Amino acid sequence: MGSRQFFILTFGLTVGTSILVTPSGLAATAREDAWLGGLAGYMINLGMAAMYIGLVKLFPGQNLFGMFEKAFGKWAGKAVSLLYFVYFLILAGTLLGNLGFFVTSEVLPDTPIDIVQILFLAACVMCAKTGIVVLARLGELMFPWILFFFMVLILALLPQIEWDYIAPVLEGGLGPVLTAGFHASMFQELIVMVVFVPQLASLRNWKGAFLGGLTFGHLLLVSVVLFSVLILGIEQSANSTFPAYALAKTISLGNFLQRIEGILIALWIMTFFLKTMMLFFSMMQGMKTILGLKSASYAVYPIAVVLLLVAWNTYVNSVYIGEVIQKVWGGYAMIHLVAIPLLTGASGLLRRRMKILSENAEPT
Amino acid sequence: MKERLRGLMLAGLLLHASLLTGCWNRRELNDLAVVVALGVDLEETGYLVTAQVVNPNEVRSQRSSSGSASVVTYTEKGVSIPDALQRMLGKVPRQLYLSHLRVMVFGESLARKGLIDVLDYAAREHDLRNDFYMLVAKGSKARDVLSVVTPFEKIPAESLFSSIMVSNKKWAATGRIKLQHFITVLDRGGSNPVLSGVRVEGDKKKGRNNDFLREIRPETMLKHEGLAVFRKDKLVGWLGEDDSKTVNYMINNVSGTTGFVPCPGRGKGSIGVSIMQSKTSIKAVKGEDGKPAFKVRHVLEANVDDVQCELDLSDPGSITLIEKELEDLARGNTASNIREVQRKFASDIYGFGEALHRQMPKEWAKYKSEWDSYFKTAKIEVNVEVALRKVGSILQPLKKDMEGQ
Amino acid sequence: MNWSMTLTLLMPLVLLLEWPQLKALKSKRDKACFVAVWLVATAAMGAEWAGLQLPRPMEIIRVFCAPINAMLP
Repeated sequence: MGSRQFFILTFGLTVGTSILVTPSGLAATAREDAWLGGLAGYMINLGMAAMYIGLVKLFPGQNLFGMFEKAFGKWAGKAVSLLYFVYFLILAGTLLGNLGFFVTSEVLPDTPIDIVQILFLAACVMCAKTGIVVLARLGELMFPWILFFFMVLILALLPQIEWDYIAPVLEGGLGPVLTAGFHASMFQELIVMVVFVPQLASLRNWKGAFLGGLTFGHLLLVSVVLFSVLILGIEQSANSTFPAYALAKTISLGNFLQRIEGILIALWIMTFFLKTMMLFFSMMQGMKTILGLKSASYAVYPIAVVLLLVAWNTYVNSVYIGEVIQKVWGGYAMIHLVAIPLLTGASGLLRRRMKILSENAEPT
Repeated sequence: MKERLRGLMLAGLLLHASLLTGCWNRRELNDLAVVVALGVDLEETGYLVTAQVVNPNEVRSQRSSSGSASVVTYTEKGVSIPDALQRMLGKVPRQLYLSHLRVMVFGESLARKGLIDVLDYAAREHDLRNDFYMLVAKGSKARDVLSVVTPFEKIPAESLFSSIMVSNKKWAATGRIKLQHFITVLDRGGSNPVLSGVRVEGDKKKGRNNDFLREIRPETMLKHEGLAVFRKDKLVGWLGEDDSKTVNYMINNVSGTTGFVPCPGRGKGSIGVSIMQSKTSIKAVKGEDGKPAFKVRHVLEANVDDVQCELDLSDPGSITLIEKELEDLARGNTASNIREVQRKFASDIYGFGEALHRQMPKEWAKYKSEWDSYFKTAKIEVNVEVALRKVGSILQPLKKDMEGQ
Repeated sequence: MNWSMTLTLLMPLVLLLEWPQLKALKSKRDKACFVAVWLVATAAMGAEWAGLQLPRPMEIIRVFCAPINAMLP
């Protein structure tokens, strides 16, 4: 895997489904400062990324699951890895549910959700069986299109901006901004990329690719939030089920370029796919590392089936998932994105110190 | 051999994909009845919904000889709007397709009762988009408005749509309000919405078929007239032409309009101007009594349209004089119109509350809950700046030349 | 269409499809793992087909994360 592909995959992972859903949560908490909340989320993610980079330095050559085994010992490490496996599983299932709900509520309302999800899963299974390199190449193929559609979105929306909508700034102070940013940052699971670092062809500028993908993804996200505030206004952003889609519906250039939100759905489905596949591959890698398997591609079908079940049982209806994301997801994500990595890092540092100490204690 | 098989399979797959797209959810064009206008009225049991549906056979560009109307309106009662629309399917030969809606008209009695429930449906229904205009039927039911045939455009809803745009662009005494705008203004809490009014001029019954269109002066016409003032989601009154223009100036909804001033100094007659550009800003300040007050600043650019006085237009002093007249007139007009709305309706349709929120958020927090009653007595100062640019194709007024002989 | 039924009935097909690949890998561990995962997936889908109401994943997580979520804003 080359570093450009890593960049694109990180980008896809960052954007994922957040692009559709986060403006609403941010607008509800931070009101007119929703875009500042988005920026705050970016900062928080940068911090987390720095931590992950540190982890890679502390445990060279190891993927995420290997790190846990080294840091906490073989069996405790495997237990922690299993925890992450479950985390990725639930996340991927929720993403699948999100996609199904979006497509069936805005685009194909008479279609049963199951069909949409199964079709999507079929594509995922095909990709999972062929391997991550294929995904990386697919990412390279998709990326110019994603860029193009994004540009179209931004440029077509410019005439509709009402700059007034962004005032007053910092009306509630920094508090809501930070809370909103914190909540939003729990949805970019950058730690997934740490699973794939050992597979990079060269470690020369992986950090640049990682941080670059993260930044570029956030650029997309913050722009969408900003435009949501500037064009839809916060009342409608906060009250929409899919604010980015509502945003795209407003595009109307010179009575000619109208009703193009269908094309933009392609952008979102592409980023959805990238993120879901990254999670899938990290699950397969996790299985391989935890159980010491030679290959995990035979497990693809069963995993897909379980993903479907998770999707059916978490995305029960729009209201349930909304409540769950608000109340439960934050803590759950924080354990996996912040708490455990911190502990791993601490353990790694400790071991390094002990190693240095023991080396110094030996007589030359 | 394996390669070829794979290639064939891929080709087959792609072919299937292209044929099956959206198969489950396909909506064939000739199974759809495109609804171009929706009217909602109050009814004892709930709502009376009128849907104006395009009759595609009659809208062909060549002359249609069978003479039937180019649209059909279906009316149905229901407890809620979806309920009425469902029941309507008993009359309509195809499935109602709402995505191409141009206009939504509300009956006046419904508007007085409150629009919030209708708006919830309109916002939630995913088929409905944001690009249709909303109107209130002045002094009549929406059903009557949607039953009038229009000259020029075969589809009355299109006629309404275009006339809203044209009259707002050139006249600015009517509104051009879309759903999104209405809901945003309503939800904000610092302003109240307005809606444009439409009236059936002439005999409602005669307007229903094509016959009257054969005359050069059709007897029945749809006229856009004035703005409807809302407090929250309930209609509380109507504004006349002048007041409506003021509102449009204040919310920066003026792209061009005309006005006139009496001749400065001596003589009767007036000078007509056409406003080319208008920009209004509202500044929230702290008044002498410590309460919020507002300074309004209109900046207008205009051209001279028509001169009925004997003014010497080669003298820059004359232009300055006209500008000053315009400024005084506009200032007085705007101030008195705003005061009238304050007194009569106590509804902040101009957006003063919102300006306060954006410029002095801490003050806003104090007055937020009782804004409309504070608005009633708020002190508002108006300042107008006019810049006259051009005077048209001739220089001196003809009257001057004529009198001079 | 009853997807849980269809998918449960398709699972044995998956077993058949994957077996050759497993044999080629010549690893007992892989075979055991596959069977285990396959059993879990089939059981879960079968339970869904049978209409058994298993606890929802998010509810389980909710219980486990209750202390942390109480601390967050």
